[in-house]
Amino acid sequence: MLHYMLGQPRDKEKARKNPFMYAVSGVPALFRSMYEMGSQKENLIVCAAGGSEILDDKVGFSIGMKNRTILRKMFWKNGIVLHAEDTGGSAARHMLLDLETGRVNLRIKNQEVELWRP
Amino acid sequence: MATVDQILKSLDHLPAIPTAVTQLIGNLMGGGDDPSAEPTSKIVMRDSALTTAVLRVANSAALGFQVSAVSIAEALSRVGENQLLKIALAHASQAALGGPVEEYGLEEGEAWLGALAGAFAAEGIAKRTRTGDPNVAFTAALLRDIGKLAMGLAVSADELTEMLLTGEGDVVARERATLGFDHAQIGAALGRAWGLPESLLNAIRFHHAPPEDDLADPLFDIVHCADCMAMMLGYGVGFDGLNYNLQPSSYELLGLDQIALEDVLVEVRLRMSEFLAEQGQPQPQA
Repeated sequence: MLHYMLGQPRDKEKARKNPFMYAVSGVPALFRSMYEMGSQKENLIVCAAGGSEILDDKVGFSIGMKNRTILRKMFWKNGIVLHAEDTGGSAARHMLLDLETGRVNLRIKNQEVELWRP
Repeated sequence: MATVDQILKSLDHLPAIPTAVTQLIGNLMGGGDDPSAEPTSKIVMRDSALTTAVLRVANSAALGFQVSAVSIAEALSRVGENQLLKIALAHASQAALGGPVEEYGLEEGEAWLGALAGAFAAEGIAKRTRTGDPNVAFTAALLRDIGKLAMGLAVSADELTEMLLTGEGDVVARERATLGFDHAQIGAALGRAWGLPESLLNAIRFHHAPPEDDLADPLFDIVHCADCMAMMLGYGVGFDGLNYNLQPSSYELLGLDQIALEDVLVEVRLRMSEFLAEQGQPQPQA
């Protein structure tokens, strides 16, 4: 599971030191480590959640939107299929991965909802 | 209609603040100008948990000393009075802010993490933009959401939770419409009951909507922006989620553009990780 904060760094040194803070360095690092452990691209189940934003962002920082866009772009370029996603809006989400069953759940407010199951 | 202060006074009990916290706040905001103030080292030494917290930072790998500091005097010489105060305040505030705030969907420790992330963000903004005293900004942002601790006592906790779970739109506006006041107002009243300085009370009061009239003060804009940044990073976010409005004039006034915002966000995330690691605390899923 990867929880990145921004799409890309302004300073490459920061991404080298903290690759998992950024999509452009964290996502490839996650996939590389999975391939090293024996995963195969065609068998991967990829889910995404988050990318929320402050309710009324008149300033236009739109960090959530940028984070969502860069992820889609990277997946499209690399032929990765996104199996399930729940992104955008202004809700806080906690992602829960059940290692025994492979189910992916999200906790939103006081409810747990299913994002994907085998 | 009763004022927020009157509502607070009518309650059987209020959330408490440890004496050490108010003393540390006084020292941090006073900048050593008050000769009657107890020295920070003495405040820290009186509390074994605070002493341990400060020594952990003084002996952290980041500072790179080969010999361990075993006394507060040694720690002070390594990190300096200002840093020591902030470490102590960040740690000591856990006693007041560390519990769960169930009405807002905040589990044990989550409100404190939100407070801490906001404090680091406010300090970072103040330093970067030179629009305010970093120590005051740190303290004000640390305390900005204390109103959430008292909301469940001042109103029906069930009504509050129901509103947060079912409603849509800006939470502050919904609090006011449903309950007659918001957590920023009740926070300022609680701060008054705790004897906090007036400048902090206003920063708490205005942390969601800094005024643009005669009451305007860059400190309020710093705390507002810091609050938004803590939310963007996912710290201290409960049932209310990110359902708050961001005031563009605050960012414009402080000169915070996209680059500055992202730099401060990165800095806050790294400082949070570093602080929690030094304190032996688990890294949250923020």
